[in-house]
Amino acid sequence: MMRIIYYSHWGTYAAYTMAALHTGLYPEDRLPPDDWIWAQHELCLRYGEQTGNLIYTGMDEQFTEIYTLGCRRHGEMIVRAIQHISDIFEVHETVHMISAESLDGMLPVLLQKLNSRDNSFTKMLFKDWFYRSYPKCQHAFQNGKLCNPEGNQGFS
Amino acid sequence: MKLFYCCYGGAHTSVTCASIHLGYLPDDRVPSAAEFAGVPFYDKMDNHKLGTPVFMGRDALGWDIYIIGMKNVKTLVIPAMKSYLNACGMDQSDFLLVNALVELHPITSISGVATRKFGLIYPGRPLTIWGIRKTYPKFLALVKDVKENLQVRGNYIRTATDFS
Repeated sequence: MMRIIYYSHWGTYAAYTMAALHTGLYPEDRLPPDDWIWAQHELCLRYGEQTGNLIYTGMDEQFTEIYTLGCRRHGEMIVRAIQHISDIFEVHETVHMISAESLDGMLPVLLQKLNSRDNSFTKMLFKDWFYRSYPKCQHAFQNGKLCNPEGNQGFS
Repeated sequence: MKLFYCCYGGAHTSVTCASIHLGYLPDDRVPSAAEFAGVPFYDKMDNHKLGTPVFMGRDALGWDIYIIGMKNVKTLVIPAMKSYLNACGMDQSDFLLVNALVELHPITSISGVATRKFGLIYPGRPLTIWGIRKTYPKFLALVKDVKENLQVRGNYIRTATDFS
């Protein structure tokens, strides 16, 4: 069994979108329904600030466990920590850390600052961000373009 | 059983604590500056390797002693490590982390940045040693506390096992 962790600055924006595409929660060929988009917005409100904690998203067809992780600006350091901890504790399952940092953009930073107030303006901003980033996430996922600072795979 | 001494850069304070713990540095006096030259990994951690745990040795109680630098985001790195081990179903009762960032002399902090970030080994490294020696009693007290806790822990587990 393998584990895949999608990480970015926040664990609930592009990283979560990638994870949801991977597990099949989100369709690969079109936008998800609005209810799902609002559900992700709710996730950002509740758990966006909980960087450092893995968020379990689901399993793919190969029973690979998919997680997301918010790392703020310290993705490389956390990747090293997790990979070495995995070796130290002799975790037999492989872990792949995949960066989605380039897919976040700047808007999530503003959204997280505004998210203390859940109102129609933040929802509108979130939807705008989602509509812009979703095609990039779809494209990256479908092409499987992978690069990451530690030689693992991530998205460029 | 694994114990991690954590600090900012994984180069000075955590290395000093781990070295005292393992006997590489004395626990009954302040060491000379020359004795730090013999300490493994002192002032050696590169910035681009932060987050990498380094194995320092095994103590008399059987604990594997590591050092790890986490910059100023241990509130991010520690939950990431723990939640990952949790996801893997690993027992974390023998996974301990100790904050080695005791009240540091400002010279240690400034010169630590000078060596690790700006590569100014001289005069940075001698100044870090000077600063560490100034606050050495605090490191001794921290390590003594840690060892006493490990000893009590070991006794408790042995006693609990005897009764089971």
